[in-house]
Amino acid sequence: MSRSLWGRLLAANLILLPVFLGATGLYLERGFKQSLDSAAVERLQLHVLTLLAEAEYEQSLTMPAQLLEDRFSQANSGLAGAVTTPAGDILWASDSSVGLDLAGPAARAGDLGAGEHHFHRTADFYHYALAVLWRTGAGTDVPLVFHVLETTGPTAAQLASYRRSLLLWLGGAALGLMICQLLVLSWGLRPLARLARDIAAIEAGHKSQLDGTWPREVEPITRNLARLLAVERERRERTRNTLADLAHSLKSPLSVMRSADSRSPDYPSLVAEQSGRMQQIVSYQLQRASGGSPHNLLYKVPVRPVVERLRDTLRRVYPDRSVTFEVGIAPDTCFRGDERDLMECLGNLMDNACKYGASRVRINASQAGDQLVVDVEDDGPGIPQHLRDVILARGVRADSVSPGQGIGLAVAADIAVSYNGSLVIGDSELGGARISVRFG
Amino acid sequence: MRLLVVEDDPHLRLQVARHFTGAGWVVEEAADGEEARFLGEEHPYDLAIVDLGLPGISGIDLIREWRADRREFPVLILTARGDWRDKVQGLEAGADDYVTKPFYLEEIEARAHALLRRSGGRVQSAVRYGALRLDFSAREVELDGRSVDLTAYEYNTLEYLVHRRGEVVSKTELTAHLYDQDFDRDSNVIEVFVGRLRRKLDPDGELRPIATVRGAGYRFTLEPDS
Repeated sequence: MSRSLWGRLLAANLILLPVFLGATGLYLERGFKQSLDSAAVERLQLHVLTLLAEAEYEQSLTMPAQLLEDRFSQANSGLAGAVTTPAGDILWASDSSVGLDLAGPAARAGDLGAGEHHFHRTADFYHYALAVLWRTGAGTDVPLVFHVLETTGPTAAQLASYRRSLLLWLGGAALGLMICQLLVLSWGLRPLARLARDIAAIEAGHKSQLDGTWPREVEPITRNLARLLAVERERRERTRNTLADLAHSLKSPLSVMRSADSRSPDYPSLVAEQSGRMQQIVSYQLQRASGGSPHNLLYKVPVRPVVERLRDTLRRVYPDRSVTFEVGIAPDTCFRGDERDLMECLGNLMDNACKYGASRVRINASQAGDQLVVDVEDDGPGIPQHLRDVILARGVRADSVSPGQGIGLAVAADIAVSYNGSLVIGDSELGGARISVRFG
Repeated sequence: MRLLVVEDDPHLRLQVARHFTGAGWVVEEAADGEEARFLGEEHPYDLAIVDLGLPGISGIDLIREWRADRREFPVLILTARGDWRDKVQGLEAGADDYVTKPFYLEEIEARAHALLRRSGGRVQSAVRYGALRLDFSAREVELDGRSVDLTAYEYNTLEYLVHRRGEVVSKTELTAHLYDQDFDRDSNVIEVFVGRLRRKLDPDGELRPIATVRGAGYRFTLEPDS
């Protein structure tokens, strides 16, 4: 279930909704129960005060035969009254109290002081008692306790019916909320479903591009996906071109060898020369194919570690050449693209600088927005003006590369171009060449 | 010098092995990383040539394991892709140099000599030790400007002693680095070679280039001219 967004949101709803609605129901029910109890207190208090008003005491307690409240006179009316001494002796009990045990309640009110009252509920009854000090005509004070008992039956029924309607309303609300949530969910997740459909269509070949507008939350995904698709298309195109170039350019040396006379004394040198040419072509095309695709925004590669790894490698490869590397690159300088491309490009440039430089190689990088410029300088003889254009002009067709000339610069330029950049050959203040490569 | 060639292509492996055998090296071959790892841990090589694209254990992992196991012989890697990431990863794993395929055998040999020179602490390919001059690339020895005629075994013995200059080299060590496994290790042939070398390099008995350390082995005594 946790593997689907739907499932997660649904599970959360299924757990949270009952918890919240249950708590609400419980709170409402308690509140209602309390209000029922306080209403009972008021009612019983009123009955006691009425009884008190109706009572007479001269030598002993007398109550009128007909009380104001009819229910005191009817058996099983659910309301009963009694007057006791503090010790619990029953002085008077209403007709309706027949069959009721009055001793228990009377005992509970035994230690009430004059003017104090007592209220409590049992499973069946509300019980209200008020203790008074009755001053007789003779001037003596007689302590009396007035009791009223009422069955809880009617309030219990009221509570039960309240509970039923509460359950009905809250249940209905839960159901309604759930349905609303499901609708909101399916509406909110609709772009994802559309994305899945579109990707399936691209997989099936019915579509080639993710088009249309997308919500802000999904947009980074679709943007990168669209870019990835474009890169992939370009890579396919590139591979096709490279293969075509490779096949085409390998055919010429092959045909030279095929048409040569194998008995001629020049044959071995011809084979050596042509196989050398083929090797150049293969390595050039291989390096070209491995480099360069505009992956912008996909990766951020810190430049400095790459330069330092290359520097350490070159130091091991050329231990006899005491070249000093000066690396001036801020730690947060980043290349947006494939690390392999950056390494290939800078590897070629730094290798050349080591080979042709006398003792110093300087690597600087600067970044402005998405544009990255890396300068590789050395203190060697530099590159003559007339060769600069020749070196950069090739890279269109591999068979124009003459054996013996390094292809590193051309490959580096190719990679820069594939990142919408360029490579410029200039003069360094160190005295040698300054290769400036720009990405983006 | 004892060399291990690790390459899965049988033709290429055989070509390299033949070339180095012809140049006076003791060569052993391994077709995959597993075998190479075992051999590297069993035998004292002076150099290994390792193809990066091996089946099973990759060349890079092989070098890493050797280095983790304190096998410090120089390693030359062969890479077919030739891109910088392969080179950087190879050298970071502990290799010392790389050659990109396709290559000329002469190029590999030159790199191999350069690596040996480095591991022996030498900078030049030809070094003068007083009256003696050794050219490690041409495998030639001169005494007072005159060429000394040495057999391949005699030259190899001298080269190894010079390679380990200043240290005592036991007869067992010499045997392991100079001869094939099936060589009879009990024979006193080493003593014979060293005896002949001394006569050829030091006919007057004044130079004393090779000292005998009793019960331990031999030591090349001369210092290179600065």
